[in-house]
Amino acid sequence: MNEALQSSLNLIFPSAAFYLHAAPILAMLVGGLVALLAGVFRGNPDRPSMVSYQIGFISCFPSVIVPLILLSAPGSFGMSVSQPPAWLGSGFLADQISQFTFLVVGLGTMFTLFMAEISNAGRQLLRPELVCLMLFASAGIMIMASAGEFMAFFTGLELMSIPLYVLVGYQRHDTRGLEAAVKYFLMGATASAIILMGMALIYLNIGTLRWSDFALLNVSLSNPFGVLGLLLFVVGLSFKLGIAPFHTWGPDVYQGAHSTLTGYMSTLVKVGIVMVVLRILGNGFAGNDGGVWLAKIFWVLGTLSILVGSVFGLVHNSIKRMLAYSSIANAGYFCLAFATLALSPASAEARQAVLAYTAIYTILNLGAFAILAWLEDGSREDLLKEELAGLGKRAPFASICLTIFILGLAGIPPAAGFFGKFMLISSAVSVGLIGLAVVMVLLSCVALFYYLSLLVEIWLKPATRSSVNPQDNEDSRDVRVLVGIVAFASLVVGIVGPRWVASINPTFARENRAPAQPLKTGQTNQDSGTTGQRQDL
Amino acid sequence: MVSVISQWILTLLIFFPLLGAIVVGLMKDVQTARHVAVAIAVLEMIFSFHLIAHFNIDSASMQFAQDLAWLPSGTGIRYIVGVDGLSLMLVLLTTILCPLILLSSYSSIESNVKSFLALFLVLESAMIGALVSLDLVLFYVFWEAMLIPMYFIIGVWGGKERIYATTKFFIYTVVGSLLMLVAFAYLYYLHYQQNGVFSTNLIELYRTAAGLPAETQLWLFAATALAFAIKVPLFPFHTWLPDAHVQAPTPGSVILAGVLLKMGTYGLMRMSIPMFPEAAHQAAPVMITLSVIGIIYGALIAWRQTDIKKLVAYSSVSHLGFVVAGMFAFNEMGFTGALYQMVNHGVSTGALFLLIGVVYERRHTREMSEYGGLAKQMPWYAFFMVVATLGSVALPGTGGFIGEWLILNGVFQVHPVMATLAGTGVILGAIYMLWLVLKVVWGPLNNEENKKLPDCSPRESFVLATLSVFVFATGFLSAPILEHTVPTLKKLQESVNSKSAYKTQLVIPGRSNEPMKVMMEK
Repeated sequence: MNEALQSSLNLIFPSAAFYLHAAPILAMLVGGLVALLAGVFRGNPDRPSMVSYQIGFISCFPSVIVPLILLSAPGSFGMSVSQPPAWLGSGFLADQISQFTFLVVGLGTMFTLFMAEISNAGRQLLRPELVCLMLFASAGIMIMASAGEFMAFFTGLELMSIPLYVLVGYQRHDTRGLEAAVKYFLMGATASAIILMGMALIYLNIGTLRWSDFALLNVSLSNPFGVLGLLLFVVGLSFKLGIAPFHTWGPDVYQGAHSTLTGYMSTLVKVGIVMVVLRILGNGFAGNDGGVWLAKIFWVLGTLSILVGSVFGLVHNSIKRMLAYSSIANAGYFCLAFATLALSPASAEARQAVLAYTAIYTILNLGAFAILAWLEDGSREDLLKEELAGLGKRAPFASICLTIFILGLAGIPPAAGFFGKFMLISSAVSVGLIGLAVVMVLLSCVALFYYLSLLVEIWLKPATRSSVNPQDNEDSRDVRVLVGIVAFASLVVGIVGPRWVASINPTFARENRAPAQPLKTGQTNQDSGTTGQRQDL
Repeated sequence: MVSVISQWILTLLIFFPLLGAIVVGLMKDVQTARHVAVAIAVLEMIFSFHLIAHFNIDSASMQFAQDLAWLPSGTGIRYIVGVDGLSLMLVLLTTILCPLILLSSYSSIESNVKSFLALFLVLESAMIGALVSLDLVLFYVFWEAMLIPMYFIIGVWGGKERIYATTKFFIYTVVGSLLMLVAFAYLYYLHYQQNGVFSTNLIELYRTAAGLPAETQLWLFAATALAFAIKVPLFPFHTWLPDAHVQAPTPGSVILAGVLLKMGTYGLMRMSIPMFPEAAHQAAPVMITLSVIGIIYGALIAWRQTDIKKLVAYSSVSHLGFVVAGMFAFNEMGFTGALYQMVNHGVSTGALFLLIGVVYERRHTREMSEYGGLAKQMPWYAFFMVVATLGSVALPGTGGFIGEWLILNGVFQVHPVMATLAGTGVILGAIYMLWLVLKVVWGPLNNEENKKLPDCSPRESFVLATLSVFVFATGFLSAPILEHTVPTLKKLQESVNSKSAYKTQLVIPGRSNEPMKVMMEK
């Protein structure tokens, strides 16, 4: 057998270690299909299906167990710690960042499924296709986060986005949900198109699709198409992350979707995209001003996000809209992290700060939306702020948990958000982004107004006739246990600090090949593997 | 045994009330919960006496220190606590005031009692924590953690405008402290840049910070001083204070005036001044001017108030102006006076707020014109009121006199004009306070409703009598009290004036024999 055949076979059928590392993704994909089929063959597909739910739940196990094993015993199965392996060209990077993302996504998906199962409204949603769509979306997030090049990333992105469009409009009889779904679809598809266009222009410039080769991109005004490509790419990703001024879909979509799903959307999706940006920026733009350029762009985007998120959130009464603006404000903090990464790509502190902030943000937001979903269960959807009045008396435990989440989102210690923000700020000031850090903290004080207004309603105002009155039944006990665990976890993280991030090795996996060379005019980059060759124009 | 206690005493002091808060929160019976809360606060006070008993008054080091791992070692963020003369005074003030305040809450807090007691104990934990922590992140965590219970204490048990007041209080404070956080993060990074290791250890950062160029120092000083100035509150950042004081329930006002405001002045003396001596010198004229404006402005506004609580609230602005002016004189007298005045203000203003609470509970009004002639009806009340007032106007024989005298003397040595202006504040203070006493206690007993008022109950009398004793004790026993602070303040003054790093070290009990010094030098 000649060598070329052998190497291409290796590419198609990777070693057993690949299947272990990719088990979370594969389990989600297979589980999604099985859940769908099980629902079809067992009973009425229009009815909620417990079998599908159970299959979905079990499919999440690998994405919790495998990362836990691989993260707690780095170097097991003969894998190099200092240079983690990559498979499928650069399509699947088996580094600790991927494993960490798998863990977060796996736990988040389990949490969302479980929350849906233990609420009345949620149970109605649990038709086989919901489980299937959610698992596919989670698989998409994981594929995206572990991708080292554009093709795998884009596959993951679409695998995530398309199920999400459906999930947003999943309550077919709710016009607001449908409106949100259409909005999300149009915006999301546009964003995908913009990303594609951006990538096409970058490919035109460097002739490769790997993130690790982005360093070759000449980012300067003398190369307008390169700059435009990068800009389009950033804009597309900003759409997906809900960074202002590309945030406008956010509040409507958050409001339209069922709260359980909103929690899922507002957290895990961001986890995936953030990891992609982390991988792109973390490779750096060596030898030219790309990093400085990008830092400036993120400066502007970050300032706008925190401004929009903090100020516009003030005028809304709907809690979901408010939380949507809070997530826009938090996207501003992500921009701070991105600007830091753009300026110091190799900094382990900056990467760990991003990981910590992402995980903490996910915990807090999932918890907040879970409580919201539970409160909405007893009454109606889309709660207004005033309807929380007197909640502290009626449901003290849920109120305490919600308070912990809100304080966490506001970054007040001892809730978890504080350390996330501290790590971000300290890594940002270390690269000289003091101005942006000051803008961030000052504007997040404005956001405090609406965070506090929620606390005012919950604790300081007496109950009125329109207040929610969550009933006390078996479901609510389950919710309490689940949310209690999340709240406790976020308090523990807030008190002992995010210790686990220090043990995460933020090195990117690299494909084993010679680095690509810069393109000269009229020359093609000989590039085997998944990316193929650039056609001369 | 003693050394083991000494080693853990500060950690015990921080976490004991927190534990107590959980116990109180879980109790069934309200009345028992009240007793248990007081018992916890009294025990806390007794624990804190261990500090005086074993404090080495000849040393300016951080005593009873403990240095434990907290965050992963690479971050350099550790759990470091310790007290020196500066924090010792304020820790004692806190532990002594808290049981008295809890006693006063028997009548002033009637709804959601258990939540109040639990929050109050959490607040005590956070205050002690902020006072003894020697790690910037630990300090910041406690500093922010103080806000949450206070937010609820004002917001749940406060007056009509409580939501406005508590939101204002919270946001004002957070604006300052977030900027401080950025400053801390920058300092954290600068330390790494200079030494190659991350650290938030205050003692090491003193050295790093003092070596910075003047401009950097000035920015960092401004960021930290702003946070503390808001908390003090220094003019023009004082506008949250009258709202918060007026709306807060009596125990809330007392703890706010008694301890929380001192966190600002403490922060200036512990962080801003010794960390950035160069910048502190540059900023001193501004700080002194602002505090003198605060002194006079606060006094004039207080004079015009008809609401008793507002009057006392504005008087706090005026009194704390003295404290800030004193410390920015940068001489030993100024520092000593500032520290002493923090304690005195805590005692006398705390007593005044309690006294206001006593009549407010009986009449549910704070308008001065509603009262008058209370001395005839409530002789003991009148007695305590006069004592607290005398403490507040700095009559010779009270601690206030010593504090203000030291401050004015200290400021006079460097800024005679400012000291003279500040001196008018003393006169104005006497005017508005005596005016208050005249309107409320003396005069004819005209109002029919006041003719039925019962005098102070034994519980109220006990609380007020204790504070009255302190008003005079601080006056007559100033030497033994101030003895504890001399080495610390002397060192502070020397390092500020030589514009060099403030050098101190942790003394971990039982770690080595006399002179028990564990140098933090590398």
